[in-house]
Amino acid sequence: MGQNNLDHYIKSTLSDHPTMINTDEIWSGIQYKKKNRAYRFIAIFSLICISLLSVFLVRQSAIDKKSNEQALNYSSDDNVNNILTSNKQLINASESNIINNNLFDSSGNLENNKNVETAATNKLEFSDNKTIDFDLKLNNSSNLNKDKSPIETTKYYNKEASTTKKYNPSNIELKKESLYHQKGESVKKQLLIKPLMKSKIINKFDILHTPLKELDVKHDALLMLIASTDCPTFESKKNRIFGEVYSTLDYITRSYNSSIESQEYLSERTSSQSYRPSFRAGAQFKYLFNNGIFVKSGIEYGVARERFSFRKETITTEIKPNQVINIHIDTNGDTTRTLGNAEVTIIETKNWKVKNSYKSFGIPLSVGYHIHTGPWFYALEAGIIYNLSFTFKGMILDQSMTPIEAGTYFKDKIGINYTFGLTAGYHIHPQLNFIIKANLRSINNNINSDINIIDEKYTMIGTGIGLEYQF
Amino acid sequence: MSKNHLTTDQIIQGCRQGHSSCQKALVDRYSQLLFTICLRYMRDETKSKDVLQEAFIRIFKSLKNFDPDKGSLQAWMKKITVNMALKTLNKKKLQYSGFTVEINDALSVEPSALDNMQAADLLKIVQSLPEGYRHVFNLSVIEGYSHKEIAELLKIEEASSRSNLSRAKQLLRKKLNAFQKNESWVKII
Repeated sequence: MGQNNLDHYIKSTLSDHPTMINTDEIWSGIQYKKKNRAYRFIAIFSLICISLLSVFLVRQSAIDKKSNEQALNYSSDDNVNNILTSNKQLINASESNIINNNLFDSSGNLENNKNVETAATNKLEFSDNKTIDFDLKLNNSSNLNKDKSPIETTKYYNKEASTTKKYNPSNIELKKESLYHQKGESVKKQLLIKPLMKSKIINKFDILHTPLKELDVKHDALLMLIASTDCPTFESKKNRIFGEVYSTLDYITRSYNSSIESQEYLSERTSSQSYRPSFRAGAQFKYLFNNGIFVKSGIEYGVARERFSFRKETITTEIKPNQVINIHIDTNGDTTRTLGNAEVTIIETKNWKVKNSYKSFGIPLSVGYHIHTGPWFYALEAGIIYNLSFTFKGMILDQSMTPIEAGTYFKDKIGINYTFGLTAGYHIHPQLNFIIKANLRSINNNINSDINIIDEKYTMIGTGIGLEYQF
Repeated sequence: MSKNHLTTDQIIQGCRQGHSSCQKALVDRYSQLLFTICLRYMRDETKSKDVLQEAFIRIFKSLKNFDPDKGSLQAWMKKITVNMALKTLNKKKLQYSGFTVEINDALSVEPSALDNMQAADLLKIVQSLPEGYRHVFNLSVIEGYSHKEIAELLKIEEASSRSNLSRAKQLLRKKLNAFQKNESWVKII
């Protein structure tokens, strides 16, 4: 046998030669690999998200640190210098009384304080039980020497005067009030100083042990510094409860499955139903543990919407009597119509355009992890939604390809669904956070009842916004 | 209608819509044929099954791009399976002979040698060829690729493809003759 013949023989023998193999084994292997790929995709996607989040957090942290340092430098340099230079004529004793009365004798610093009287006293209590008395010094302008100009008076007081409060930085409000007297005119300037963030007042408390004489005018600067310096939080590490309301705009992905016999019906079903923007809304409570893990539960209402469009053309043929079957026009222009039985084709077209909705109401229960940095926080969560009710409103095709209002084609309850989400939040108020969510809800159970021969599932992928309130 | 009675068009349509029943029908119908291809390239049965599964996943994914006007579904699937096998093989560094081997015309195969030969036996003999030779032989003789195409697919020189094919054919003849004489052909290299 020549080479060409041999080649031809091998090709014809082997090219279409089937080798026995267990196809079920191959099929299950394919299913396994497909599932694994989906998990791998989710894992890689999550890893990328976490990496990006980490980079962002590190960057954000660096930026926060830098801005804190800048704020600190600014406070210590500018405020101190400003106060030191502008307050040379200031009555120094006003600051001395700020120091704990147990440690200092306020009278020792009242050498220029003849024109000053105490108007109110506020107390700040610190965690180490030291107390600072804020003496509000009001300049008695009638006693001021008006020949000296300008004269500036500065006063500091707590936001809520004449009360003793537990130390809370947000309650401090320092007010610098300058009163200029010049040639019979008085100009009053007020500078309201609010703390940017929580104060490092306790760290600065060491200065209280400084001899009184050395404090002098510097104390004024200290107050300014206290007011504007960033510091670590004093929040207690207690478990916290949050309430959250949110709404998301969703995209729907569907998956169908049916028996071989139902392929044609399924094809008509899928072509007649198209996606419309859908939404979800919910209210949940979140319990945040000290380690950043949280559990969340509440209620969620979701509406998956779709458009049902179907056009049905019915062609019927029947024999009808007295139909014009011939028209003859002769040379004189006379027209002769011949009537008789004729086959008539009637084409009837019906169009349906209906907005369908699949409403679901359920109880979500999820577990997640919460990362807090500066005014931002980020959370990753996963959980289940136990469906309490599921209702369909609209029309679909029945198995005879006729549109019907098919409420019975769908289940009343669809069991347990899965949910997965990412949340970013921003503190817009000490107790209120604005949140942005990216969320996925998988209706992994068949939503069709036994009457319907199609298996239908869908997934809602959405982004949304909400508010979170810290109780 | 059972899945065995589905037409190819119905299967394609169903697979495009992601219906698992149609995908299963496609696997049932073509897996034995495609498995032979995998065996020709991979030799090992487990690896061949792995390649076959990968090939089907690729087929399901790419079916929406399949154009029946350009060729049959079977030919298209075969091509995907061959490419998948080569992709798997390319991960290994294969050695291909770079020198030309003269064909010894005197070494011909008696037609009677093939009379009693089953396709499975022939497959085993082809499988027993050294890897480099076997791939070139499969691509050239069975799949009908030109040396230029083989060179591109296997990332080798055209001359290497020619020499590998010559060597493969020579070896195959030796093995077939040994098979005819009921001698051990497995160790002939």
